[in-house]
Order: sequence, then structure tokens, then C-alpha cells
Amino acid sequence: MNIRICLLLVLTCLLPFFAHAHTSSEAFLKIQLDGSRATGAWEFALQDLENIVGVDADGDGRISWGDIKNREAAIQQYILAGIALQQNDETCHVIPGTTMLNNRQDTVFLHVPVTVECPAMIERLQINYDLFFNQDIRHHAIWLITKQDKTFSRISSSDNRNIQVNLAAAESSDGFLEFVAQGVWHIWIGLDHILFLVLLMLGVENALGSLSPTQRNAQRWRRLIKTVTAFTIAHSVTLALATTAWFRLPLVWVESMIALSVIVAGLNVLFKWIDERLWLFAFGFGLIHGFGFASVLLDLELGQSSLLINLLAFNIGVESGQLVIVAGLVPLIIGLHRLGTRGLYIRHALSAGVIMLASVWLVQRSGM
Amino acid sequence: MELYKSCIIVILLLAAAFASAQPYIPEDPAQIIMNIRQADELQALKTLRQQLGQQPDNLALVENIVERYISLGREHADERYFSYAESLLKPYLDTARYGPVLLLQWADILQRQHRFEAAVNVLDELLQYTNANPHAHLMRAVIYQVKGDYAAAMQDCRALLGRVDMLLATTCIAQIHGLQGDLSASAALLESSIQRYQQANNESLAWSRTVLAEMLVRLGRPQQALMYLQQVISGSKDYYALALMADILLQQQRFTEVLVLLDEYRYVGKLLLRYVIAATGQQRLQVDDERALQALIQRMRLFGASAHKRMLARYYLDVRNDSRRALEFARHNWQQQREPDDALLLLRCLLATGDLDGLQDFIAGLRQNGWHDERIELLLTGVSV
Repeated sequence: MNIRICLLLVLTCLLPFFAHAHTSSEAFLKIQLDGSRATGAWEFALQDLENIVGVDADGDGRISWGDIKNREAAIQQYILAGIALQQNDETCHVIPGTTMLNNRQDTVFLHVPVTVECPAMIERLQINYDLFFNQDIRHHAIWLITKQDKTFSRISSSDNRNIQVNLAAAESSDGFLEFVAQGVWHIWIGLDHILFLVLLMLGVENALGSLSPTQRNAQRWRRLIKTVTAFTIAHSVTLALATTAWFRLPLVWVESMIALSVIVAGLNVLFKWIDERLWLFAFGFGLIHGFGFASVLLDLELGQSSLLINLLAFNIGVESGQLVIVAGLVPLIIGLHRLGTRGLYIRHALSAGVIMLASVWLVQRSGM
Repeated sequence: MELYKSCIIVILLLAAAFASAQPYIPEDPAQIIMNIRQADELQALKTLRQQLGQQPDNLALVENIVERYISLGREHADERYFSYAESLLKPYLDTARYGPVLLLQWADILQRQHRFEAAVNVLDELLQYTNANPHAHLMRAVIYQVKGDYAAAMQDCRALLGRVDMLLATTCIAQIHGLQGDLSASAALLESSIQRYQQANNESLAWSRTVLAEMLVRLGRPQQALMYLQQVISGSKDYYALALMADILLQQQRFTEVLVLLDEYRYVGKLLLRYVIAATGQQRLQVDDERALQALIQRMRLFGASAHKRMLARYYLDVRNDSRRALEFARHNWQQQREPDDALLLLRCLLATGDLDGLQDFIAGLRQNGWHDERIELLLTGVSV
């Protein structure tokens, strides 16, 4: 090799690990088992298919939807030849559906719906995955296999082309409990969420002030439940949306808004802005708190794959953590109320303190 | 009822956002789904692979294809092409059909995957094979430098003298000297060498200017560093130089300039990270960028955490404000890589978590090595260690 070329090669590569590339090749395969059948969708990066199977038949450097349709049969043939599913050593039949597209970030994936038919009830699924490895030793396929309430995730790689999922065994869905625990933990360490909840409850108690004692006792539970439930529903909705649906808001904004929600809830205790409609306020800000939870859940790195079941687990955790907090606080709040004016002062002092704390958060988070 | 209605509208709006992420079928067959970057080169490589199928023993052909895949991977910051190169040369290595060039390429791929030990082993073998291979010495010197083994790195740098152009050998030596406590003298030497060897080839000049810029930053002369880096990037697309420029600008909170500088390079992970940090600082973070970065981080943690600890630490520290997790990655990274930026990062994490004991030990270690870095001094102002 010419010394100049070689130098160029060495230097450019060398410039200490300059270009850490991060795009790599992955496929996402989901199947849902039901008796001896399974349905799902398999997704492959269009770039991988172009490089290895060839999609751009006219060679104009652009792949049109027409190009993909023209090569659909060849692509399906390639995929079917490279993936073999067996139930207990008996071959299952894979039937591909009509090819679609899906965008994951800025990468286009081919989305192939599949139906799998096995000779018997699927209990021990063996998967042999051998696509792209021939040319791309570092390709990975991420499997998400669900059966009723159980979810299993597996990764096929060039070193690990045969994987097995034993669905009959007591193998639980991966880490379900761990996600419940994470949810509980998050609500407990998420001081901003707790304080918001506390202020909401103080707000409910405040609004009861104008009522007669009997009315008050009747209304207290109704309003507490309504407010906490509204908060819960709202943040469950956005949590689900943000984690499953790629609908997200900038974290800086979300966290600043959460801080703001605490401030407003605190001011409400001081100035009694909102009374009966506190649940609506809880709902509105609950939507934003949900995005905050989602950022934690996304951080636990389930990727796109094993989300749903973990999402559920996480949410269960958040709700139960929240329930414990509410249950613990109710007697305290009632106790405060019994103190009469002194209780009112304490409530106001608490709120003022929390408002100050949340203002500091707001400044920090928003970078004001 | 009005209130219920507005709640339902909010939920419906959010659900619509959910629905838009579903798979779809384009209506128009002529609709362009993807533009293939460097389609001609990829087509040429396909033809070459077919040729190789017919003449599998043509080693020159293997080397040619591998080299072109490595260039593609570098150009597009796309790891997939390094993997193609690896997959292609692996069977030749396994069956002992290789020459020095293939070994050098293999070492290059390994170091790109941060498999430093393996890369050094391959280079050792190569240097036994052909004792005076300057490229192998240079690559090994850089790996030793990254790992903080300066004595070994210096040996390899000295082996370059008389075998490559003077600027290259000088840069190698000056870089190591600079890390051993002789920073300003080394920078001065490099600066005058760059002046003197203006005729050197562009690649050598780019590397020397980059190394000099790194030194100038540590000397507290970021403006001059930026000037040299500007010269590098005006010559060619150099992601490393861009990242370095961005870091200097970020340190001076010149967020808008970072956003302009990196706008068209967001497809490169490390540059996307810096872009997001700047956008966060400027409160102009776009959902798409944040999402792309999050996906990237998830993927890294799933598949290549060991190779990307520096970036993970930086992400948790500067984007997520999670200094604890950042510290964990920064510590692991320090076991693997010991460049000035790695030290700076670990220090920032230690300060952010308030781990004063860890900080004291770490600083003591740095001082012992005679390490000079104004950025570190600046950070330590007011901290009693």
C-alpha cells in the first residue's frame, strides 16, 4: 500500500478515536402468543436491507415506496429463510403480511406483520435467527415475546443465534417486580411529587373551611378521593403516552412545570383560589407530572421493547407508593384542622416553606 | 360538563400524538422513503464483494474493501460499516491468511470499538512481523496515551523518528511530554513545528493542530485553541475537532455558537450530545433531539456500555443532572481511558456529588503525575482539598 494512503488511513482513524460512531444495526421483533398461534410484527432497518438484500433496484441512490414494493417478495423470502421458529423441535410456519413502514427516530424501518402457526400449543419456543450476520457480525435482534400477562425479552446476536423461551416454566416476566419497586421508590424519593400531593390535600382541607362540621366530614373524603384520583388518572395517561408512544416534552420544560405546579398548589393553600374544582387543577398538572415519571421509567432502559408490562408495573408502584402517603397524611391533616387557628397557621407556614423550596427548584431547573 | 369536555379533548389530543407513531403505508409509490448516502460507493463495494466471492484468496481485494468500509463508517459515524469490515476480515484472520495491512486494519477496528488490549496485542504481533511499521507504532502510541501508559507511548513515538514526516513524530512526542508535566514547553514546540512544516500533508497538519488545541485548552488559552480547530474543520469534516470546539464553547456558555456549529452534524452521537447540552442551556431543546439522544443512550447501555462510558457519564451529568449515575460511569471510564478530558469529567462528577474523599485521592493522583490543566484548577478554586 502506498505510504501516503496508509498514513491517511492510520491518521484519520487514529486521531484518538475521533469519530465514535453510534449508529448501529438492530432489528425489533415482537410476537404475541395465543395457543398454537402467534401474531406480531418484525421490523428491520431499511438501510440494512438495502445494504444486504438490495432494495434500490434502479440504482438511483433513492429508495421509493415503489422500489420497496418491487422488492417485497425478495425481502420476505430473505427474512423467512433467516428466521426459524420451532415449538418443541417441530417447525412453525411463518406467514408474512403486507409490508408497512415505521419510523424510529430518524431511521426508517420496514414493518412486516407476521402470523406464526405451530403444530401444537406454544410452550417451548425455539428461535433461530440468522439474518445480516454474514455481513454484519455486530447486528442485534431484539425480541419481545408476550403470552397473556407474561413478557419475555431476548436478544439474538452473531454469538447467540439460537434462543429459547420456556413459556410453561415458572419464569416470570422479566423484572416485573423490579419495576413495581422502582415505581414506589420514585414516588417516595420524588419530593416534588409528594409535596404536590400534600399541598393538594391541604388545599382540599382548606376549601372545607366554609362548610359546617357535618358537611365537612361528608365532603372531605369525597373531595380527597376525587382530587387524588384525578391526579392519578392524569399522570397515568401521560406516563403511558410518553413511554409507549414517543410523545414526549422537553425534560427541562416538564421539570420546570412540575416545580411551578408545586408553587401554584402552595399559593392555593394560602389564598384559597380554587375550592371545589381542585380536582381539575390536580388533573391538569397531573398530566405534566406523568411526563416526569416517564423520564424515570425511560431511564430504567427498557428500550422500546419490553415497555408495556413494565409500564404497568411501574404505575402500580407509583400508585401504591402514593396511596401509602395519602393514608399516612389524612390523620395528620385532620389533626391539624382540630387545632383550629393554630392549625391554619401551621398549614400556611408549611405552604410558604414549600413554595420557597419549589421556587428554588424552578430557578434551578429552568436555568432562569 | 364543560370541564369534562375539556378533559376529554386533552386526552384525545394526546392520543392523536400516540397514533402518529404507528406503522404506515405510503399512498404514492413514487414517494421517496430514504436517500442512500454514498450510494455509488456502496454499489461499488457490492461489486467488489462479488468479485471477492470469485477470488477469495485475493488479499489485496480484501484490504481494499475493508479500508473502504472503515472510511464509510468514519464518514457517516455509522458503526454498521466497521462491523461489515470486521465480518469480512475475520475469516482471513481465523485462517491465518493475512499480511501487515490487514492486521493494521484489524487493530484499527478494535480500537474503534474501544477494545484497547486486543488492539495492542494485534499491533504487537504486527510489529514482530515487520519491525519498522510506523503506522503500527503510531496507532499503538495513541492507544497507550489514551490508557495513560506514557512510557510505552513515548517509546513508540521515538520509533517514528526518521520513519515518518517530522511534524508527525514531533506531535507524537510533544503530546506525551505535555501529559508528563511539560505542557507549555510542549505546546510551544508544537506551535513552532506547525509553523515550520506548513508543507506537511493535510492529515498530519490536522492531527498536529488538534493535539495543539487540546494543549492550549489545558493551558487556559481557549481562544487560540479555537483558531487552530477552525483551521482543521475548514479543511475537512472532522468530528473530533468539532466535538472539541463545542466543548470549549460550552465551557464558556456560548450555547448559540454550539447550536450553529453542530446543527448539521446531529447524526453523530457525540455531537448530538453536545448539541443537546447547548440547547438545554439555551432552553431551546427540541423534542426530536432529546428523544434521539435518549434512544441513543438506551441503545448504548444495552449493547455497548463499556465502549461509551465517557459519553454516558457526560449525558447523565450535563443533560440529566444525575451526578450519581454520571460518577459511576466516569469512574469506570477512568479505568479504561485516561485522557485529560476523562480526568476533567471525573472531577466534575466528584464535585457534583460532593464526594470529597474521592476528590482528594483523585487530585493527589493527578498532581503526582505533574498533570497541568487550567480547567481543573478553575474547578478547584474555592474547594479545599
